[in-house]
Amino acid sequence: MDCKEICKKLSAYLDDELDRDRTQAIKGHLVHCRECRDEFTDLQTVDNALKNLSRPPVPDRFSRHLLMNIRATSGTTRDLKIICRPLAALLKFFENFFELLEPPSPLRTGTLEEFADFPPCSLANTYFNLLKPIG
Amino acid sequence: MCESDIDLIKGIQNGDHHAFERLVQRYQGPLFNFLFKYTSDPQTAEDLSQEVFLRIFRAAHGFTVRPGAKFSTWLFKIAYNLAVNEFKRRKKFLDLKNTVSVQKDEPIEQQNLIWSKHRELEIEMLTALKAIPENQRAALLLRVYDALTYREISEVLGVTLSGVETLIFRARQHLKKHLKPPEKVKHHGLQRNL
Repeated sequence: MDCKEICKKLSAYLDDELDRDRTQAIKGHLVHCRECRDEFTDLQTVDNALKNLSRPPVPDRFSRHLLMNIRATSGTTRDLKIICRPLAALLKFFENFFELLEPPSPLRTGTLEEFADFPPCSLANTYFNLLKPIG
Repeated sequence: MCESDIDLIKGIQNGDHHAFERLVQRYQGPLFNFLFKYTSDPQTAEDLSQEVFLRIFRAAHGFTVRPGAKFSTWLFKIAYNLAVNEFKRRKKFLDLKNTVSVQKDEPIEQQNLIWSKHRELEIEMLTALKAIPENQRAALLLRVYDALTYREISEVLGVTLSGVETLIFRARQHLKKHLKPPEKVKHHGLQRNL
């Protein structure tokens, strides 16, 4: 591996994400190549600068708000279930009750001729003509 | 006794609210830190963190434990997707650069950085971090702060392993350029433009 290839892999080397052969090759290269070593040091400096950044404190209200949100969400769902179950039963009761109050509607039946739309000379048409009352 | 993340998830599945509280306590810091540095906006970071935990609470009952699966990967994947969607939503209706509370041309001192101890260095670093592409930033943050492996980062970001390697490599190069004087940046091995 030449310096250019080594430099491309230094980041993964820093993260210990290379296979053993490449890791050994880079480790050996860094011993005698000062420029690549400097490059590696630069990457470590970048990482250290990042790690040294302060971690923003989580706002005090965070957990409280989260738990309130969860209770509100699950509470709403639970409340809805509690309200909806008896309401659905009540609705079904009234539906059945009003059906009972309605006068029974007479069954509507069509005349036999309404069905006489079979293609002429078809088997169905022949049967229909046989079954049709005469006159 | 230190319970594992999986034990806590099982606790949530069994209706133990305290298990969820413990999980929140464990991850609220790393999650908020990631989202804060990724979005550069404390309010967005807080809102998104809330949404992440809410989603985890709702989805915990259906969470199946796969061998080798880590809770943190799931957590950061939700966080990353929410943050990306938030960026897209803002970009769709407004120009993001004018709307996020840390504006590109506005000195970051304007921000409420009361938590900063080494203000100047932090400002410089945060500005540099903000200037790098979003996916590079996410990959580097997950690696440096949360010690996720490249495989885990590839799951979170939905990219290949070599893609993660490239993203982190480029992110570090960008930060290096930003932090070093220009004459020292060019190196014998890396003289191409990134």
